[in-house]
Amino acid sequence: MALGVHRGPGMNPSSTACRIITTVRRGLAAAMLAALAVTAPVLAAPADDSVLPAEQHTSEKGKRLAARYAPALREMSAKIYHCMPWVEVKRNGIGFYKPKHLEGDVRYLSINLYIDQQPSPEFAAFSIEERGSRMFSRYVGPMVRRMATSPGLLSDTSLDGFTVILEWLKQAPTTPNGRPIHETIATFMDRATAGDYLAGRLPARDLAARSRVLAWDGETSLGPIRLTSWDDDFVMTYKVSNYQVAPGVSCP
Amino acid sequence: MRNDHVRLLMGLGALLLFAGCASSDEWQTWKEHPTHFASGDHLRFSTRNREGNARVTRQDIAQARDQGWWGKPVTVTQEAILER
Repeated sequence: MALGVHRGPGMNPSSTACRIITTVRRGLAAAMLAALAVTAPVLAAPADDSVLPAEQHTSEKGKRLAARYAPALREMSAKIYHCMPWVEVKRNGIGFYKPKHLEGDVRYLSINLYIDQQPSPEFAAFSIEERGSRMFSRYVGPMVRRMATSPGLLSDTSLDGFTVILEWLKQAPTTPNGRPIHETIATFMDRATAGDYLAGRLPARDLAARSRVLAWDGETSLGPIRLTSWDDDFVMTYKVSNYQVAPGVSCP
Repeated sequence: MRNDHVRLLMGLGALLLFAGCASSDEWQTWKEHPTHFASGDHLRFSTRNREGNARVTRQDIAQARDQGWWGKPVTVTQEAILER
């Protein structure tokens, strides 16, 4: 549609048209900048679907816990997103889930993580127990510590324990149509064990022995496995090269 | 007219010269990935970090992960471990 331009004394139609076009262009540019300003923080934030909504828990106990701690869980998810960029919280990966192997409405605060790391020949040469021990030592203690920072959570008698699920790439596809194979360990610890560990009454070397750990090779269950554990400061010390934390975010 | 022939011969010569430098594996790689940049995001990242220290944001990492996607992995589902 052509823009209407009034002709009048002292008005140069061509320069008036130019001014109008310039004004429209500036308006469009401002609108685009405004749109970018609005969308930029959304893009910088973690996906909203990392925390299971309270109403999607299937018991009243689960719903109550989820509703009470939702803000703290979303904050934890954001911290992981920004401060541990090599880690992905899976869709609905955070919630007050019931471990399938336990009886009754037992609610564990759970987190399901994919660790983005390249499979090295050295790491692949270890047994599943050795790989699991390394991943356990790196991530389980630090994640339980983060999960337990929600005020009042550790003393909440509705909470029965913690689950940390860790998944990583075991093997890249070996053929063009092949699929990558992931390895998974799921660690379950009751609230008392977590409390002892966080209070320093249980050393990191005893944490794996006091937990139940299940493992999977791809989709195949390997059942319970026995791991060893130790203090590992990887999460606190590892930095992605040249990574720039988003403005306004502070990482420990 | 003669100049055109000379230019054509020089062009064909250059093509043969450059073709001779690439192995069949390299040609195959080029056919599978016929652009220098994997994506527009990769191009933006590279041009943004042409000089000085590279600056990697969380979005760069997420995009690189998405674009380096190797297909649906073989893995256990969360539903096999946990119940809602």
